[in-house]
Amino acid sequence: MFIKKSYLSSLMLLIVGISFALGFGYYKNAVAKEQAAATVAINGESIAATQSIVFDIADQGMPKKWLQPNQILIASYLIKNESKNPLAIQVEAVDFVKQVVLEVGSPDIKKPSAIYMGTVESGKTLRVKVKMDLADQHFSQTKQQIGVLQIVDIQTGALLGNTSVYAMNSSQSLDQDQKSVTPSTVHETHESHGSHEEK
Amino acid sequence: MNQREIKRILGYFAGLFLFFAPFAYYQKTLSVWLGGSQASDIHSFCLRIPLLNVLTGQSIEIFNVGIISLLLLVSAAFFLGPFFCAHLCASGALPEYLSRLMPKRFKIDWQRSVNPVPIRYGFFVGYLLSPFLAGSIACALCNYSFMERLIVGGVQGDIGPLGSTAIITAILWLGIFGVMAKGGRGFCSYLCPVGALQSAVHSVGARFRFTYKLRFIPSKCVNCKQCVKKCPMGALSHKDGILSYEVYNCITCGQCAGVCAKNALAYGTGESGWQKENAGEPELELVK
Repeated sequence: MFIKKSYLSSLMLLIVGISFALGFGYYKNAVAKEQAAATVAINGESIAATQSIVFDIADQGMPKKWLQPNQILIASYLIKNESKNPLAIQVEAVDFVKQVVLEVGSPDIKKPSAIYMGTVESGKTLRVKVKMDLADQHFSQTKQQIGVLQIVDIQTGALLGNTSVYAMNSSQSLDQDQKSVTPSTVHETHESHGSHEEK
Repeated sequence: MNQREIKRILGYFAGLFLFFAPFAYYQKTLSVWLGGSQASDIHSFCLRIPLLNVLTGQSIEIFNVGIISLLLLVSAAFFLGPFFCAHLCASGALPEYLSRLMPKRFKIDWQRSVNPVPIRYGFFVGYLLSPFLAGSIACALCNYSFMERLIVGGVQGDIGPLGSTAIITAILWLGIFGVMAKGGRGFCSYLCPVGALQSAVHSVGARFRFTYKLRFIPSKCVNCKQCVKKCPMGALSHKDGILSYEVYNCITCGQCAGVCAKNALAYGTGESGWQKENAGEPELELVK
């Protein structure tokens, strides 16, 4: 029996290559909840009803848990202008105790801030990336608010959208949570003062 | 450092400013020329996304930065070889140069241990299939994207949140297949679909006399193996006194030609000079 050995090994390696790509696709889906997405439809008149965003630390993949569990991302905060006119808006991250930045469009040399101002044309959608840091208390099991994303009409000052962002850790036991509440609450107060100075 | 090496480094720096945000001057210029306001970062240029968009029917728009770049890349690969990889891709160059800082005894010769070609093209096939079967990995396993994060992070002072897939990419690209690998281009060899596409196109183009390719003059070769040692992709190997060339894994960076004292290797037009069995064809080995 004659076997072309190199062809056989090449075929095996080809399958390894295909499997790795597909396997990575499945892994990507498995850790997709590390990043959040939300859409707010604004009409320029009344405040839009929006679902809140909840990050569960337990959804983080192992590499993220090990290396960078305290930085999270809303990859796509979409603001859709459903009114008939262009809307000049301000998107602001408020009540965040740690660093938060709002990024629109391609990265620039200047680091973005916690406030973005711009105009959304009628029928168009603005995509905002929200990068934020978590404080120690956000790693407890209890669902805790990290901050709020507010959309304000620059001309009238009216609030057009309001999205609360929460963090929780469903993998942490209640016992551990109870133990960690006291020190982290103290830390929270301290961090709150710090955040106002940053802004 | 010789003149060829200086030119290479300058080319990679040019690539860094041309394609990666916050600079991305190529995308910005092309966007202005196209009369639109397309995003100016590596994603708008990334050749992986238009490939998938065409395949999945998401985009048939011809005049956008991605499609034009893909056409340019394929044309350049046909006539000149994988020009982008060899002269402009800063994300391929970074691990290559970093790996030079690591002592040889700590490095793994991946390409000699595991034949990169079937994995490279298997991964390429898997990459194209992934949106249909698993979920697109276009941005999940992307060294371009991570390179841009490093540049933006360096400029802004903060790299920002990283996902698990981005962390794995960094470990593979800069670590296991980067500083820990001989040549530092393990990621290019095994996991870059852009490189795989270019090499595949180049393998066709190299059959014509009028295209640029790595040429070999066997009579001048003295079997010093310096070219084999220098090749960052492991595209050259030496066995039983014969120099073998793997066109499917070559980026035509020309480092082998630069180190050849006898000028047995050169980058230019004309006949390639490689024996058919050494020009990318798998070796046949009969076993009872």
